[in-house]
Amino acid sequence: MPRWVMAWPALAWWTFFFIIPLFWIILYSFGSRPTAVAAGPVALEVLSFDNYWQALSEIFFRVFQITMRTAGLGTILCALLGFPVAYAIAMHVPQRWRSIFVFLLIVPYWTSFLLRTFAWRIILAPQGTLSDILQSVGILGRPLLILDTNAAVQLGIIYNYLPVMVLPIYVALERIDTSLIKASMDLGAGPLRTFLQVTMPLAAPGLFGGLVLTFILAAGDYVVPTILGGTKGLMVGNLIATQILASQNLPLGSAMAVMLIGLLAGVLIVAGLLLMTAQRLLGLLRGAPL
Amino acid sequence: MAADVELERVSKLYGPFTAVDDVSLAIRKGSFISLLGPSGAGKSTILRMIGGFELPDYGTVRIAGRDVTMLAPYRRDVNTVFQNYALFPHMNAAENVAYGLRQDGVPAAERKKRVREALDMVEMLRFADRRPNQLSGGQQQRIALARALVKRPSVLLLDEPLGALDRKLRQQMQVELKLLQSQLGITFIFVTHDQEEALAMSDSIAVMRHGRVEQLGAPAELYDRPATAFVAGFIGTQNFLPGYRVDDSLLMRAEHDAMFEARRAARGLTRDAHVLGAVRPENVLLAGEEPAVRNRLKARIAATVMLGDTMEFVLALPGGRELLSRMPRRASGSLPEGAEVWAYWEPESFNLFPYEELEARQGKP
Amino acid sequence: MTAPPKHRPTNGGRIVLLAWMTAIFVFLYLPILVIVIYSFNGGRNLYVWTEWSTHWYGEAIDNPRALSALLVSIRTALINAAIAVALGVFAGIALARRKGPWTIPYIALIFVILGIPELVSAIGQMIWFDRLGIFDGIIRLSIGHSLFNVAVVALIVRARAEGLGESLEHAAADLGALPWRSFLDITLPLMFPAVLAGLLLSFTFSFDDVIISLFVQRPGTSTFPIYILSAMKAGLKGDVAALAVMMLIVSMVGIAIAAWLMARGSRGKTLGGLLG
Repeated sequence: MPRWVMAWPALAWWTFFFIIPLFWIILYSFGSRPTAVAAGPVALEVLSFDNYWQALSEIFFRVFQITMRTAGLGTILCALLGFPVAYAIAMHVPQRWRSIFVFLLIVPYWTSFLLRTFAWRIILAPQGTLSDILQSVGILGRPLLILDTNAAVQLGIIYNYLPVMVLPIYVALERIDTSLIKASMDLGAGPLRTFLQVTMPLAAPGLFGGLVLTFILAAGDYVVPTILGGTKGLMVGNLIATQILASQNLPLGSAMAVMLIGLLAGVLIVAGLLLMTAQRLLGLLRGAPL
Repeated sequence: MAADVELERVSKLYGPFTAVDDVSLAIRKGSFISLLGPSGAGKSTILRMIGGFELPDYGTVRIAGRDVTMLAPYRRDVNTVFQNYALFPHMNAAENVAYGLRQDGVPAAERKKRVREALDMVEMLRFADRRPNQLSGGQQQRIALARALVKRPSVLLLDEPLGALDRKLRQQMQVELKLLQSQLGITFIFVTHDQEEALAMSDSIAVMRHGRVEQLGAPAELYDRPATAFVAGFIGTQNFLPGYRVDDSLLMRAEHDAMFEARRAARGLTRDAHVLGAVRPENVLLAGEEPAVRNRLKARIAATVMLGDTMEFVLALPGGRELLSRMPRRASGSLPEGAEVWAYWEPESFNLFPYEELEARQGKP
Repeated sequence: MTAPPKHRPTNGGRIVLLAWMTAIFVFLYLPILVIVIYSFNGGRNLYVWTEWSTHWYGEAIDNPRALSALLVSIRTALINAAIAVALGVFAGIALARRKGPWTIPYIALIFVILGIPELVSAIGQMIWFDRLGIFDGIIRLSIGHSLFNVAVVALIVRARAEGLGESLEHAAADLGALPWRSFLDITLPLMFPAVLAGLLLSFTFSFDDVIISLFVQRPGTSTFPIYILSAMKAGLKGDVAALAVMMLIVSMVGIAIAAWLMARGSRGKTLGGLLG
């Protein structure tokens, strides 16, 4: 009996219920809507790229653009907001408190996504408390009107995926031997130089992981735009869901899903190549005599 | 002489790294043998191959004459005391000790009796109900010993079992282990990187380096007649002086044309070879006047170190090398730091070895 | 005797960092706090605070559709968790103890399962269940949720097994235990905290899931989150907030216990591996 037989049942389960369905999506994306209802969900007699051409039509292309912008901007903002948090936990929180802070960071992420997003509707409501406060202080001259816009979606994305960004960075920072930092200071490097030349290079893999993970999850999101975006704050996720659940256009929805996956895979590959190049360049720079 | 455990041309490779390189070793029944060497020397790998946790890539392992090379651990008549004890955390001390007997289907009444005996033997009867995390390191060590011995194996393997204990407790356990071994008459194979521990306990020591047995012998033999500069340096402390052999004599020409005489040259030493001459600190004597012996050097006392009953002198030689000298404290008299002295030693305590770069445990250049 | 005060260099950067961290934590918890508070809002309009009241909770509990959705969610979460543990535990142990050329592609597959947009996986399953003719809502939901959670359990168990090291199993073999005995006597009991943590997390993740449920559900078997989502679309009222808070409590308790179990086992190292 092969040594890894214990890993087979799970593999069989995934193969049957995860991998096979992915192939069905690809197959369906080349099909067409059946002419008669009785013919089943998708006509597969003639396979063509029609759905992909249709998906590249104006509306889809625009939503795609918005999605990439929202996810990309959200990822960058998450990194800017999150890095100091990861740094503070790893470097300035005493050892025995660290795991509690990490736990506090994860709890929101693991509790219902739906609910946390839903809470923002209460906070951002035009008749709500925040809106009232902002008006009475005089920042706003009229009720807060950001619900059901891209801005609300952007906020929801940042809020929901911030822990995903912080955690990998924290893990990388936490592994840094603090004596390295002390040694660097000891050798006369100022805090900024130490940060740029010692801390950052060591934290880079964590930061990279956080960026990729956040981007992928944000780009494929459905819940945030559905709840906070209304009709104006669409993302690819909604568009695909609408095609399948409301318009009953399974082939078109499948084609869009395939394109989403392809795009994310592309981002992943480009990011990986960039990282490799960056590391090589950094290695060359370090190796160069000063 | 009945060999209890026998390794015949055993090798183990991890990818490009040869952990054990063509080792043959016969271990006499009822003896206490230590495998001694720096980390990565292959000593633990050998132990694990005897225990059955690693399979050799080449060669044969025999226990009591039977080929067990490919046999699973649970089919071998050996038991192990693991490095970090590996006590089952979810069982108390008595359950830990009983586990092996349970596997053999020993009836409950006898099992109980033998567990009691084993716990009594290591003086842990009082702690039978304690879980491992309620025991100190030394107590866990004793339970691990009882758990291995209760099965009455013909061979006991000990993988650096004293490494995690503090110095005092370690010395106490060394004595107890040695006593236990001679009472029970079981073969002990003991892995350690601590040469003092190996010297204190063993009937014989196999010094290992780079996956090979560098020298096998009784402790005194290794100490007095090391086969290589590595063994000479690894066991005890050693001063090394580089130089060249004069023809194929026992004379050595060192730096500044100093000539030293030895009584022994390592086997295989060629004519005019690049050599290391070795003398132990306790054999380096000090005198105020120039002594009438050949092996002498003018030196300055750079530092004195008090080692309890002995005094160690760090001598600075012309040219920057250092030489260590040790003597009983009451014999050391008044030798202040900075004093100019003569260091000398007898040819009987001077050995010549083929030259090699030694990393640790040698007189600094 | 009191210890002398500890010297700690006060520097501006440190204070700014800690203040920033605190602000972010407030940001993360504020919405959760808001929804809990507003679920006690007595006013007819959820957004406009009027007075304290628990009447939305009364209405939420009296709502038969919500209750039946809750029941669907619990049944789904339980079946899903059973599948996840049954398959994930063995996969996790194999990953830690039976390493080989298979390990890297296997782990890559796990990361694909954890990282792929849930939406895509959900569409595939919907198509496949329809093709296979599986039309029982609970079964579709349980299988759908389990795919992610098998991977979660496998990773948790793997982390625990790696953390413990193999020496205990070696010790058992050394004492004469046959492999299956060693597995039952040593491996499984030691994996227990990880198994329990995996069970709780699987339950919670299933209980909170929206996307898979949205696609694979059948008429009559809406899960609790789906019910909340549709109620929300129809117009937010206090009873939805009350239901959401009840859901929150279930998942918080599950997560707290799971995190505690995992922290005991492997000092929090698994937490990081699980977000992806």
